[in-house]
Amino acid sequence: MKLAMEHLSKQFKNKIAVKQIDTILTEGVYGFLGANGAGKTTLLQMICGIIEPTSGEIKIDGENNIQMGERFRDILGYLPQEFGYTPGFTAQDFMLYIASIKGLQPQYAKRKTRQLLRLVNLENEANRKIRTFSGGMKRRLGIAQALLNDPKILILDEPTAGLDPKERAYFRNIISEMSKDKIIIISTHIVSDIEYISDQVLVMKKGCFILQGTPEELLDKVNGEVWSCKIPNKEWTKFETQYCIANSHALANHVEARIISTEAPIDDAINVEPTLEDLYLKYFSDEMEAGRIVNEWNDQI
Amino acid sequence: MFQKRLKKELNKIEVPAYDTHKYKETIAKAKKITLHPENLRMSSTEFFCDQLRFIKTETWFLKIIVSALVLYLLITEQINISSWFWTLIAISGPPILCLINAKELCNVFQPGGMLEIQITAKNSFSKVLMVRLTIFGLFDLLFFMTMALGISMLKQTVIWQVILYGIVPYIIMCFGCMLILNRSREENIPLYSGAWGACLSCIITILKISDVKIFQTSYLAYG
Repeated sequence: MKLAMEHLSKQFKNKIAVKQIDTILTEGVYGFLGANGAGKTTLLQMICGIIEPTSGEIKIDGENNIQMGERFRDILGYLPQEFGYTPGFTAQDFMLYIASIKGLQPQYAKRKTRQLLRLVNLENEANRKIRTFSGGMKRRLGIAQALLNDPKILILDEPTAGLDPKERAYFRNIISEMSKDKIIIISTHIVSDIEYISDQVLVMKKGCFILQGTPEELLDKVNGEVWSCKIPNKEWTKFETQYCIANSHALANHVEARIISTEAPIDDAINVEPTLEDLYLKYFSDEMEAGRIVNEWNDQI
Repeated sequence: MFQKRLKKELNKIEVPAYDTHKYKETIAKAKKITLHPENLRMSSTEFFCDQLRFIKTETWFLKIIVSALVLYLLITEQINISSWFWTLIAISGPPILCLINAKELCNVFQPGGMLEIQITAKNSFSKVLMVRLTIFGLFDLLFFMTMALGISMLKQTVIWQVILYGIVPYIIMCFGCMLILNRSREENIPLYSGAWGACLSCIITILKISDVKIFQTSYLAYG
């Protein structure tokens, strides 16, 4: 199966959310990485057919997704960023309702619901009202509903929001196991969610893909640019403004820091193995800087 | 020895002529059902019937209670066509029935992710909405027809008049609720619809107070 985005753009009044995206996805796990407001959700909504692109189109094996209609939606599983549910529904009612609108046969729907609730560890909560669920439980239920029709294209928008580290690890295992014969798109700004399970990572910034490749290929782009060093306390403020700091740990006389820089920040800095988070920080440090300035300005006001 | 005899006996049985194509087709269908139920999808009729179980029992209960109450009052009371009774029926029964429908439709229009999930499901959102509108429409039509037939037979009233005075406020109410549903997809829909129902009731009451003879037999429509 081939999912192609051709010259895809979306404009909301004066704001261009997605700008001329051209890419082809085949079976595998794809991680869409980007800061909040980068255009990830808009892009996913266009792929799902929730919103129509201003220009360009999305093709599934050469056929336009909107024109495919029911045939496209039948192979699609989608977890939206914000999880909504009908008031008064229990987890089981919700699953059966979604199974019904996905067109599953009632007998099969019941069996699949039990199976998926077990998969996301909600089997014992099947008859509990969703409104009594915690954020993590709602998210797990959302993941389960997306899998009901055994989709060939699975789109998950911020799937791990609200999940604890154990649940996140479990979720990554589930996705890894089911990635065969499927196009799985995970949109997130949490790097660790996609670092180990993605076949391809697509970094999105201001509506465009600025980087695309396997995690190893992308890590090569920051190779030799990540440093571990000890900065004396009195010089720390200068370093903080001058460099992109990935981590810092204040000790008695110095600060242990992980710095992203093309050159060694100090003479005894040690070059360390980069991670995708370092890459993320490198490419989004300007936005973080802008955010910091706005926050400081707001504080002053 | 036994095997041979069995074979001989079996060979004696005459198999009637059959369509080999149909035979293969049946086997293929049976395999599909038992081995790959995940690939089977409901037909439109099955989907329509399946959606019935997702309409809350509370909604059906309310609709039946309201309908039965209106019918009971109309049939048991001494109705004078020019009395306030018609007005009360026109301003209470149809708008309430419509409000119950609007409240149930709100569940389909849940904001946030639920709407997005429904839009991306095989059976489109408009189909889900259409099923509910058809079911409620049929129920309410059945109520109006029962009301019209019952009253026209028991009270010697003209059937079209009963239908008209019940259906016109109902349709105006429906029209308003559809506009509200279309413009504000949020949890305030029942409140807005309720406000619209109250406005409609006020209009009918004002018309009655102003002595506009909307409930006279000689009038075909309001005003």
